[in-house]
Amino acid sequence: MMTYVVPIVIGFFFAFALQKAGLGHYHKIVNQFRFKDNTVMKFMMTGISVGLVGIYTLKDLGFLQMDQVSSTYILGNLLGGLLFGVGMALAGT
Amino acid sequence: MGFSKKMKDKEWSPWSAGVLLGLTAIGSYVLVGKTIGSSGGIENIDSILLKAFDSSWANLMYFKYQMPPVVSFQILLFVGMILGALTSSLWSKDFKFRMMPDQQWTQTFGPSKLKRWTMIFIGGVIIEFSAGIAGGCTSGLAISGTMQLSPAGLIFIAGLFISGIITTKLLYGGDY
Repeated sequence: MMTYVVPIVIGFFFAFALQKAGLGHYHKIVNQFRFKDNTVMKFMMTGISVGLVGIYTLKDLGFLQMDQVSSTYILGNLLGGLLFGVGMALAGT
Repeated sequence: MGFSKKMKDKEWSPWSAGVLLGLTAIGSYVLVGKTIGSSGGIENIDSILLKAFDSSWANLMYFKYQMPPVVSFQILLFVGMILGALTSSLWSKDFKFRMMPDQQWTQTFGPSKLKRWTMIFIGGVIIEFSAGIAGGCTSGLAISGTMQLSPAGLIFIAGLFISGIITTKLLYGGDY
């Protein structure tokens, strides 16, 4: 039961944060690329900073193992990112 | 400022929403031992569909082992995400069925719904395909990856901004 409930609760707060930041709107995403509205950058960087501090603290205290680190393969990450940006700018999502 | 008033705000400052995002990501790591991601769930759904329709693609290594046809963590995340975004938008009365974006689109691209829907469809296909190449999307790689100081996340963010800026520049032309 818990294996189903916990992911749903996590997803709930994740999308709640996204909606509250206004990232469901087309203009928020596209205006980041036009540098008219830096919401996306502020939101992402705050999330990354808070998460980074939390995860590394808990790791040092021994509460979690970092075993989910995304694997790096430079060409794939870069090509994927370059294509991804085209899609993001077209769709605004 | 009370709790109820805060919840009725249509938009929070990106800083406070970002803190909630960070805390959620930590919670996910501690409680489930997994990082938040979205694009992988779609690929699990693809995998389930391929298997259901007996496609030969279902036997590819990628759809058999990398993205197996199971109700994965990320599919469950989707259920929660729909509920979360719905709660947030209903609570702040921001909820609305939109056929077109609220602002800006019509000024630049005209009132054609077909144009908007075609572009969002093509954009969506490109997004999902490239997330497959890169190994994650904005949430799974850019946010969760960088959070763990994985170079993959930073490379991905750099790539996404380079092409995003160029594409927007091309689309908007002089009005950039």
